[in-house]
Amino acid sequence: MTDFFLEALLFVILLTGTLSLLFRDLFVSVILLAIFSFLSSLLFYVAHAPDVAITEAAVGAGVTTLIFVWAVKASSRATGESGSIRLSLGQIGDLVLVLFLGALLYFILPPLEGGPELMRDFLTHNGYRDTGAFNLVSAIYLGYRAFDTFGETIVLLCAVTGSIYFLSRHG
Amino acid sequence: MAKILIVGLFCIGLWGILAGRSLIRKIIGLTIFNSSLVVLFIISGRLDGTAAPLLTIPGEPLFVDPLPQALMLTAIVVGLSVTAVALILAVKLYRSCGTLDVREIEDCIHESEH
Amino acid sequence: MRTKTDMLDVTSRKLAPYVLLFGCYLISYGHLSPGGGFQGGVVLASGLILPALGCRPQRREDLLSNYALNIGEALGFVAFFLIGVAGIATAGYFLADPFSQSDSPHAWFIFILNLAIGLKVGAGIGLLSLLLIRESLEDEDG
Repeated sequence: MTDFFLEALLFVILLTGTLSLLFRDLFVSVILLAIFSFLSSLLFYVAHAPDVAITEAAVGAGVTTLIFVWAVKASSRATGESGSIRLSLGQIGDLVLVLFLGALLYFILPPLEGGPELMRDFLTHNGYRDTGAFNLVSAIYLGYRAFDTFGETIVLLCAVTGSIYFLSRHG
Repeated sequence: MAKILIVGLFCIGLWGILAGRSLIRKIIGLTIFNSSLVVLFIISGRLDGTAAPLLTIPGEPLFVDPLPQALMLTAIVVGLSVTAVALILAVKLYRSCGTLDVREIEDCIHESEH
Repeated sequence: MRTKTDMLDVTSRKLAPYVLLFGCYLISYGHLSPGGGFQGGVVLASGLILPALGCRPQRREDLLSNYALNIGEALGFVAFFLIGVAGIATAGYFLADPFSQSDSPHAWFIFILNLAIGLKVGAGIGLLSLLLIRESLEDEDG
């Protein structure tokens, strides 16, 4: 039952992503991207990942939508797209390349069920004893692998610094 | 079945990046591409578990794998950083070249070099 | 034509403290329930953005100045770094647990790391978003 709900949700996410790229008006595309983020957050919650669900909802549907709306408004909703969809040679080449890479990914990926259970068993037994946290995901990224979180903090600092620098010079 | 849908989402994101005429459309494609990989990791991380990996849940349920979730937290934040800087650079390009179409921006850069 | 009504103004101002409170809850309970530094930090930034988006131009009061948010972000990052260095001083390697003296497990290290990350992420993303909002509102007025 949960599997069927997950696949139905994934199908609706796919539809929303496609529609977001097909509309001519950029505001509509950005709002559809926000809907895409909300549905992804629901998918993560149903797949038993509440931390990732909260992060995707706050980051994807909150901050990313805000920056997109600012960018669309600051560029005066210029779309830069011509009239109808013409099937030129470049577009056929794009489609062929994308389908080829998609098929390659499909055949390279291992089956989605039946992964190794080593980490799950190790963390269930030793997670609380080593780090003191009941939330096992926090135990990983703040206890065992806190150095990766330090790197992520540096990435966010660089991004904010770079953004402020690029915003502050007009013309 | 879920694998086909996730690969389809990957293909749509990649097509958005390649075939989008406006810079913002390319960045929307990049966001969809990012999200497809996060969905792939989270769905392939539910082994045969029935509960989120919190030790405060009463009873002794079988947990899902917490390692992909920790990795995807970092991935989402890094994706946000890339999207923010890319959009601000796109608006700066619009302010200096007057358009968001990729080919016209290319011509504008060639003209400003000479 | 007035595009921002009184109801939007009052609602966004009255709701903002509850959003900030929820952000602080997510940061502090990160080791017990889903949440943590990043999630709570982004919700804190949302609580800072909400009054800036909803208030009318005549009554625009800045909750926090750009300079204060800048200092907050830098302080959060420096706090994280100092906790790591304290780990070198007590247990030998960077980001070791400097509180692990007693035998029973406790979550002080993760709690303090959550606070530092929450401050940093909230201030950073709040600063970025507030700069964008103020820039676009200035273009509207002038």
